[in-house]
Amino acid sequence: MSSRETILTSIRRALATPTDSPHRSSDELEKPWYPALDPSPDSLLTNFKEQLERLNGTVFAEESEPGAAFRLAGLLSKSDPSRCWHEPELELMTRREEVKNLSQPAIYETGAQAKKALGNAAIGVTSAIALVARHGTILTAAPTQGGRLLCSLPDHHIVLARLSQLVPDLNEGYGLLRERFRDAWPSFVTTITGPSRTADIEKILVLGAHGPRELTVIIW
Amino acid sequence: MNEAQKFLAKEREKAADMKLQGILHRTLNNHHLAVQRNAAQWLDWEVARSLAASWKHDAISRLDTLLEQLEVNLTARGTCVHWAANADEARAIIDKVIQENGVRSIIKGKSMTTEEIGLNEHLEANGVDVVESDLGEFIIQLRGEKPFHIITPAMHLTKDDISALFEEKLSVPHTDDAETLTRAARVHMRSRFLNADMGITGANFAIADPGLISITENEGNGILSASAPRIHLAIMGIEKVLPQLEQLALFLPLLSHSGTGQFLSCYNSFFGGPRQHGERDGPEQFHLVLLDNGRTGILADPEQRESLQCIRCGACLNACPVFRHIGGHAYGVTYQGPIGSVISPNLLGLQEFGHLSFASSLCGKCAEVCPVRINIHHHLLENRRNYVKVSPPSKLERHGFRQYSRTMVSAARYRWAVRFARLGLRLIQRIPILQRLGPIQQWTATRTLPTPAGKSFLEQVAREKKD
Repeated sequence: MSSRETILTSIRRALATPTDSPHRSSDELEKPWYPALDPSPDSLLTNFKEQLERLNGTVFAEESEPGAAFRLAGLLSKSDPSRCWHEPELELMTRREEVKNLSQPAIYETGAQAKKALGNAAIGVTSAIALVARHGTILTAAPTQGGRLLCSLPDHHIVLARLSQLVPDLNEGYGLLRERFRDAWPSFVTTITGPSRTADIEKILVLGAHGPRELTVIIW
Repeated sequence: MNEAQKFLAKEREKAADMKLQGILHRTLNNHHLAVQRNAAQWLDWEVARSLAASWKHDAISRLDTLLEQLEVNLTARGTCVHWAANADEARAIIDKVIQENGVRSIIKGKSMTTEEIGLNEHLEANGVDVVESDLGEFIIQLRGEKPFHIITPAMHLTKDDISALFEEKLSVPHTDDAETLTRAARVHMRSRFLNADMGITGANFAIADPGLISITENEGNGILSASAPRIHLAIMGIEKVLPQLEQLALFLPLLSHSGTGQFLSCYNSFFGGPRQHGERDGPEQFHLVLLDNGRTGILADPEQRESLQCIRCGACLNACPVFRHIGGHAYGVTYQGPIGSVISPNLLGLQEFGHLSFASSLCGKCAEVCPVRINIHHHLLENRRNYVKVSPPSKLERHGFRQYSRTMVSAARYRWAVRFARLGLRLIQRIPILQRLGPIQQWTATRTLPTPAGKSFLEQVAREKKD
């Protein structure tokens, strides 16, 4: 018998004696565990900004696309364009004159090329699937951020998002994932809540452990 | 020395280590404050716990179908799913992947399951270069130690200790700045991430539909270990699977809150396969090892089954008065603290590790903080009962307890016993040589004997009434 069968057989034999859930009182289980959030876009934005900035992220809420492009240009121009990379599908990067030539599309043939390009990158610019107001969290996946490494190797991760992408909770974000990837679930999905951090030395908070030291969200 | 004797020796040494006591006191108090500060996010923490416990119970009650569903969904995306009945099989599976792909260097994300199967020692013995990438794990790997705490592996070390270590092993100039030390580790590790052939990680949860594993972390080392090398291998206990993605909307904040006092950890990443068609990077291969290693044994015991709900948040360690005084190394097992003392004897053998279930005052603080409502101290009692069955105490001890219970159920015998005890205590105090006898010596070695009251409580009450 293979180990697979051995394990499954042991599980089935064990579960032949069921146990009652000691905690199932249905009215308790239907109560919410979080306080309700005001679902208006303004209020979601305020909450998102407050939460992410509490965790050392930066949020710029802009009036319009030109405003967002201007803000992005300001951030990109501080670094050498050869060290700035963006998700190739980002329309803003090709549409707006302000940001042209400040960064390169993250297109590479092989994994080795990607690592070589991004290992020393200053900035990675990506989009997102949703912004979760509750925790100040960015929900993103391989197809919306030029793969896995563009959000994790550069020193500074910049996320471009629209106001309409704000959702109150993780649950709504997962709903969007299911809708979008119904037929082909991506190999990688992540939620990002602040710049990379560690407190492994005497519980002292240090930003930029292995991932980005800076996280900026530009939203319009 | 058997395991129980080793534990006693270690526990004495650690409890007398004043430097360690200071560190434990400081870090655990800070942790407690952080958890309290963030408790306001919950509308009702008790509702969240009940729901989590109920979902975990439900998942474990149909573990077989969930695991099969997970396998089908992951395999459809090109993942190799392996099943390991024990640690030997898990190591053999990993060896095979290493050999078939000519892997020479490995970068590891934080994983207690790899500690459980002794993976690092095994790989190093086979000449494979393996480096831990979680900062805490990296520090203890350099020191050749085991994790001190399931969440904070290097909790027992000060900045000074770590600086001295980095100076010796990485030639980093001495500093008392945690940021400089972290930066040095980041630089050292970056080339490792980019050049390793294979990344090995654990998993905090698995989701049957749509078929993925979830890794919670703050540093980014999990994402990089799983993404930069051409092969990603993850290993997880079979009990970690949940049916629905939407349940993570509760479990991820719950784990962060109980583990580190955060609303949500920095990165919660889902890995559902190797690089898919159209994706720009990611590993060519993704292997998932499902590990039993004694878990089905716990499942088969309806009394202990609940302990498989554990999400390894470490809250019970932080709360436990025993852990707070002896720390994690004294336990001598992978999973320390109260939940470790529940599951370790059942995973590793009751005869050898049953003594851990006695390392508790049964105060119940562990069960009070458990986010999935495991009745931890109750299971410790069950373990004790089972342990006494396989390892009967001496005749003297049995006789003593029989007399004790006879005495305690009779008021008359109890009154006589109290009189004798007071007399006995006074006698022992007057004649020092008696203090060095058998069981009395165990008390007097570290404590002074209490001075008995002149009259018992009942006698005092009777006298008051008379007056």
